[in-house]
Amino acid sequence: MAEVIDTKWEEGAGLAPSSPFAGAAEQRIHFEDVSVRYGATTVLSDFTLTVNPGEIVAMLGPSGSGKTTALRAVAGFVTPTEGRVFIGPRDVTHVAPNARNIGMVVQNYALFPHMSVAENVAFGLRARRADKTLVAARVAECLALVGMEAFAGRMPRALSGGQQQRVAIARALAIRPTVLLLDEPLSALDAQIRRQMVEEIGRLHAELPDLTIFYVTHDQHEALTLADRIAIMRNGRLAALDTARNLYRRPPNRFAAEFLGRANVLAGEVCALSEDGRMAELAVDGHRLRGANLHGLGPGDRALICIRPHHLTPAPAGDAARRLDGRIAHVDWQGAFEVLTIQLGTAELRMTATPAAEPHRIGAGMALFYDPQDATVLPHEPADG
Amino acid sequence: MLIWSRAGRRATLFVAGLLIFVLYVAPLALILLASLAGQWNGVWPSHFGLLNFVGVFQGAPGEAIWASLVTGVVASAVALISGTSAALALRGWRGIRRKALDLIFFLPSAVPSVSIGLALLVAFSHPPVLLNGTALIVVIAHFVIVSAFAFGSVSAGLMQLPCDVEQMAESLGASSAYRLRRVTLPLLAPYLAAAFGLSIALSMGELGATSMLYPPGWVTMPVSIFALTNRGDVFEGSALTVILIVVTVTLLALVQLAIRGLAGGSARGR
Repeated sequence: MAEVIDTKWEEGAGLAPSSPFAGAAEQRIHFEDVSVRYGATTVLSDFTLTVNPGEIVAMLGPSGSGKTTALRAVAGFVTPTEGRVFIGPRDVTHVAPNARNIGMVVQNYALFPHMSVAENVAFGLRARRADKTLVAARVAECLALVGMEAFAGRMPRALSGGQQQRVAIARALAIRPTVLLLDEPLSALDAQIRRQMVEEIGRLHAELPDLTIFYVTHDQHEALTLADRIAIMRNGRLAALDTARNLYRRPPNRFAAEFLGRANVLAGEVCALSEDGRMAELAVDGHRLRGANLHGLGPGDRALICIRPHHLTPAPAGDAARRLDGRIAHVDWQGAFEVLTIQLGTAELRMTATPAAEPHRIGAGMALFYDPQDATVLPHEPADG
Repeated sequence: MLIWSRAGRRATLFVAGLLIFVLYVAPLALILLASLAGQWNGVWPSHFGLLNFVGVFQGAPGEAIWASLVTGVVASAVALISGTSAALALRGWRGIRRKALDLIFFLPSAVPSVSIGLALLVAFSHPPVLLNGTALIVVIAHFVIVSAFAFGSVSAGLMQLPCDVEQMAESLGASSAYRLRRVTLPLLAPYLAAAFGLSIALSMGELGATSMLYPPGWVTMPVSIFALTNRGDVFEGSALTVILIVVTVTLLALVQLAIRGLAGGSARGR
């Protein structure tokens, strides 16, 4: 028997920008040491994470990293082998999906093909035996929220992918969910529509700032644009968690650095420290590279240095002390900018630059410069693990 | 396109058309001619009229129409309900248990209908369950024969349903019953129609088991056709065959219309 959670339905209640979907404390998602195993295969391991009320947390990771499993554990479609899942103060680990009051949007929209747009949006309310007047009002409000009010009578097959995803979002919001789960919601859309939809979701969250969103994606652009915090998953474990800005600027490990933004990561050995120890100098293949020493590494330690491609620039004339001399190995022109691969001894560095008036010549020499404050020194770990 | 030359396509079309005419159209056309004929002494029949049909409706064969209709509809309806229930119950099962149960459900389709008839005859000819000589044993035989096809069709339909759609319904707060009524069954409607139609078609034409089990007051159309032609009344037998075809096709069309109406109504209603 489905448990009725939302007791806040009132005649004329609307989705006003500041109206909470549920009590603020109820809108928290908390994973407590959650593991999910299928036989000998562990797909999620000791996973602990809290998504705070009103926050957007994007879960980013390669295929098979466990991010969708984590989301489905919140939805109730995956039962943890160990650990607990909370929505607000309530332990929902063993609560049926239809009693969790969550809104969910998936990659392939999953609209009910035999129902019109309005019927799709009304489905959750009707399943809860909501009053007819309320259903009509809420459907109109939610369709207006996603700009689909003119399509209420259409069948899903008559809509484009982007329109179908808007309807799916309206359907999820119509029940005033405690939390909204988005499982790669834009993956099936083409690039242009995807960019529009990222903006739409951002606008939607601005209009509904109390709505907690747990967003699973493999697209870093979506994660960086929308998320307050990003959780990076790897092999079923949480590899990194921080604000999007911090994670990008100061990645905590090699995987986070390479996965988010494809940073240049070079291996070397710490050969010198600044007086306060906050900056470290690494000997890398005959070059000396400096970066922020946030992990307190000492001289002689094996280490990695992470430099973002856009932090590398052609060296200013005369700055011989800090220049890195290399050769252009590859040029990847991408319209507004180009990605140059520079051979630096045996290492390669990628840098982004505005396209030069004259095309770069493969094999030509190029001197690079970067601000050491923009580079991060990380504990050593091998490239494959 | 498999054949690129125009001459090759023409030759293939001619051969295919000839086969269809000889194997499908000609026998049916001859049955239709025979059903309207009073005599057939030469190459073509003669003395055309509707006397054979009048004879069917006025005599005992007319009762066969009713017996076949009731047997077909009841057996198919029960097979559809049980087959759908079984398919829904087993859909989450995997491995050896699933294969074993699939085998049990599909077994009747692999056993000759005469064997099923004989098995029921032997099983239910003695107390405590004495069904020999009743119409019920005919209905049961038809149910056993068609249930495997109903189960198979619905199972195939369930495999085609995107699981995301049902999970979305669940996440939106729908109970199992509401989800089944508003999402699963409407999406299954084409497969249910196919299962019911196939069951009716099989039941309407069933002869092997029925000929072993039918009581005097419950003679189905195929049994009646067999009896008429066996005693030399080919024209009336042909008339009853035409009626059998018309009744079966009409039933299938009605089933399709009803399922479409139900699916549409379910989508519109609450």
